Amino acid sequence: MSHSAVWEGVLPQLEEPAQNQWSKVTSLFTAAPWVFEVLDRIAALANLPNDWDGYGSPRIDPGAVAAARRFVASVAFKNLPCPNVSPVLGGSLGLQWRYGEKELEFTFQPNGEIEFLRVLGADLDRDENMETGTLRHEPETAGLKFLLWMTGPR
Amino acid sequence: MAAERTLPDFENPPAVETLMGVHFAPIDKWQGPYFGLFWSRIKKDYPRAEVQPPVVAAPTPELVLPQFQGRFELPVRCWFFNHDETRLIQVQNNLFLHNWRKVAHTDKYLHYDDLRPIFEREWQVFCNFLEGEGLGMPAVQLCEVTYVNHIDRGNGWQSFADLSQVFPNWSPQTSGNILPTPELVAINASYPLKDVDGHLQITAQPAVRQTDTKETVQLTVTARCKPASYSNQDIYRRLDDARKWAVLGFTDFTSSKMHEIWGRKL
Repeated sequence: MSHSAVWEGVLPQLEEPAQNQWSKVTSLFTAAPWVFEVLDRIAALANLPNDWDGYGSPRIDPGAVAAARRFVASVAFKNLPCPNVSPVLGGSLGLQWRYGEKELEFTFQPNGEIEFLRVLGADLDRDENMETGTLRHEPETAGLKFLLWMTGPR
Repeated sequence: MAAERTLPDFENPPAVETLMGVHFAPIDKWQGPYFGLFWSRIKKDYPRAEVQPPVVAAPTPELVLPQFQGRFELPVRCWFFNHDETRLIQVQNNLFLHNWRKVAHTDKYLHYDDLRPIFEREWQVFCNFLEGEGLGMPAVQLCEVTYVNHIDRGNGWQSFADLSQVFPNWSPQTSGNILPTPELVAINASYPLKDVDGHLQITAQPAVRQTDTKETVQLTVTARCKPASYSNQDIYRRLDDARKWAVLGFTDFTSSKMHEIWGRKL
């Protein structure tokens, strides 16, 4: 799905005035308060040393850090809750959102790929309540769709 | 344009985008299909189009007009991209803008002198289109030149306490030294340009650039001036005035230290 198609669904939630500027930036002032906090947290995790977990895990890869920052900057909407940010084994970085019974996890890999896990209900024994995969095409847009699903009606 | 050579000039200016254009009274008969008709005139050079939400914020109090009232008309703006997507034409029923942006770090900075002839050409195409379709000539109310600059963290500043080294008119000092170093700073200033019947707006806002997620301060300098008449000659004259004030404003608003970093030549 194209950016503009996703935009149609998001527009009422953005409440951002249209700009005549072309270059895209995410303002740290008008972005949701969680964005600044999450970018800070990602920056702190980027400084973790090798063996940060005591089990020989490598430091968080710059590729994973960049992918996570890019993702956060592109979904910096006010109506999203603050995600949990965590280091992941193997040099990756994770963002986890929980919204009622719904849960979304994104893992940013050193090669920039984004893996997702979405949980649709509390009963994890039921296969249909979980979905995993990789966001391949326009990953930020695909991730935004998941986030809209998460915050939308059940 | 001989006088422009006296304006400050930089070897590596932080500009990532420039735009110039005009705001005019809403064209009464303009309707959605005209976007497509106009595109057909320029599609050879601008092969991709995007529909965008309209810019409705009035640039000055004088332009607070009921811009989309009177008839059911979906308020939209269209973007038309050139082949390498370094330039863009924006059309709305009350504005016509031409943007240039730097896509790669290695891209050569296009100066106003390079861009103005392109704007003139495209504006003429637009005016001819309006005339040909019987829509009348636009009553231009404002001429605008905007420079969007990115001053990245690590390039003259490290923390927001350092911003006084970038913008001399800002200081982190407080009266009682109780507050810590600010974690974010934004500046929004407007200056009257009485000689040219306009305003200069300068905004500095902390941001994350979406292309490479670098933290930056986006310094946007916009000069908007009223033309003396609707004639193209007066419009171009006011664009030159707006450009002059945007460059002078940018230079005056930023520090000598930053001018050195950007390689000031003049």
